[in-house]
Amino acid sequence: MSVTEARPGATAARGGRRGQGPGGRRRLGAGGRRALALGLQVGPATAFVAFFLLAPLVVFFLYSLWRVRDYEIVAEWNLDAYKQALTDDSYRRLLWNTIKIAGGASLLSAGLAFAFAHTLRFKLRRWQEPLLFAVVIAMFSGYLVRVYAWRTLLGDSGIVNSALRGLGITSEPLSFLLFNRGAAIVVLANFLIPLAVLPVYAALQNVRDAEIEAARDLGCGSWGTFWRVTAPLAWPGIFFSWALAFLAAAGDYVVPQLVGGANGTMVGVVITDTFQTDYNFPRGAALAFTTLLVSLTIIGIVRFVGGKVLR
Amino acid sequence: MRRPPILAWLFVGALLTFLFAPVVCVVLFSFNDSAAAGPPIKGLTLSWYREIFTNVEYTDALRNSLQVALISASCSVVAGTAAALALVRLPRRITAVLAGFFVVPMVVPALFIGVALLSFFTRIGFELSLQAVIVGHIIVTLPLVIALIGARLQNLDLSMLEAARDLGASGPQAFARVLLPLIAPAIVSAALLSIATSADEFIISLFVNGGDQTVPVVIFGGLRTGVTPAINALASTILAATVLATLIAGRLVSLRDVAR
Repeated sequence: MSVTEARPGATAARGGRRGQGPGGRRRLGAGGRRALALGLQVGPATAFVAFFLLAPLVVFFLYSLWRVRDYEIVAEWNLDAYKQALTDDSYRRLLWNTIKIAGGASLLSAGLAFAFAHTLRFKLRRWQEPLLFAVVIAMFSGYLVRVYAWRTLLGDSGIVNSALRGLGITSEPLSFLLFNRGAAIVVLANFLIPLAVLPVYAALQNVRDAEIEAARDLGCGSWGTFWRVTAPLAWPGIFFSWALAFLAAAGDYVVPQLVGGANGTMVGVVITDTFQTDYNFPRGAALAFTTLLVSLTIIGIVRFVGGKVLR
Repeated sequence: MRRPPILAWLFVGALLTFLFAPVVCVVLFSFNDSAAAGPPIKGLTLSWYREIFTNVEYTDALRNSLQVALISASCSVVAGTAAALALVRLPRRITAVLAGFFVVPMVVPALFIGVALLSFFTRIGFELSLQAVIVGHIIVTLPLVIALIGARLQNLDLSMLEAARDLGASGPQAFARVLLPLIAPAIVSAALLSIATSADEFIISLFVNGGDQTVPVVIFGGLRTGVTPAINALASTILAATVLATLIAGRLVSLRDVAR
């Protein structure tokens, strides 16, 4: 299998680059041998990620600058796909919708994750480990499941609507529960919250009791302590959680496809279509990189502003 | 005595209910004795499980998923453990760069990894197949292994290794008799979480499977015609495996070590 074949080769290349042929190894000093050993240890993983992630991303980026002709990708350099992604009305609406949904879902996720981690850290200390573990289990339990189950939960003949009808509260199913932007945000949050909890929790561990007490002793109220001590100390973790959730949401395909409906559609669906049905790789690649660039810009702005405000 | 934090418990309970509602729902309806995957519960049956373990489409998918999970987790654990061992001993500057490098697969959305791999594989003529899926899964599980084992190594006093060497152990001996037993729990939990991640991975598998479908790909395909109880049974089977793996992994490593 080519996966395993790639590894020893890559390792040898790495050792070779250091100018140590099989014969030269004995002449190495202790330092050189140590460096070689470390290189051999970190080499395979590094080479693997470089070859199977960075190289693909580079090819993917090149595609965004090329053109499709007769169902073949030809290396004719152009920016048409980007121009289309940024100027075409339907793509602009799509991008804007994606940002709104990813923004809503990531804020909801990071907010709830922070509230959860804060509750664990300050209110339910004795239960921190089991409760955190519950979230970790949620993190590893079914990405696809967490999305499609909402159809059974919220669909027209789903659990919520059946219960409402059974109790005589409604006679017609509430169809606004699914297939719209709000549903997309809630379902995205459902699988993003566990991802967002861990970084925030880790950041809150850096807030020591002594620091909180010092702020109290110096006359800070609960709010003052929160804004001046807890929030600035936890900010890097909060920011990381939010940014991770934002990127994951902006690049999601399953949620808009399965529960987003007409106004809950996102870039991911269109990118997938361009790859799977249109075979227009340049357009899909340009859309993906435009989304990535816009997302990273927003994340950069939030980081800058957040760092200024929470000092 | 402080009064019990009722509000805190209410909030935590509500959030966990929100998180686990879809999982419980899928498992519950996988036992429902009805052709419709929704309420009402007409009785309990195992017939949907019988179907997924006899229908060739489903058994093939289960076998594919198992194969991909075991191979990708093994590769990730070997390469990731080696890398983590080097990262704690390399000069700080190099470690920082490499640590950033290994975060890339975690922050790039899986969809982009999937389409990038699809572009790359078709370009270099690498056949889309289970092997391609395995490559994709190694990419997403490697950072996990490096993070878990790195966290464990950071809490160890590595001068023990030097002590072992001073006492006459060879390098491999010091590794096998001193270091390995200490990081073994982290290695096992990294392997289990890699298996769980791989079994659950959908997007990359969707793009590069080339017809060799894994369980999540089959589930997604089945959803086009609507949720069926068999789909729920298939999803529940994978859920049982990933939850069990996570439970065991959680017993082996302290969460506090990881969340740091």
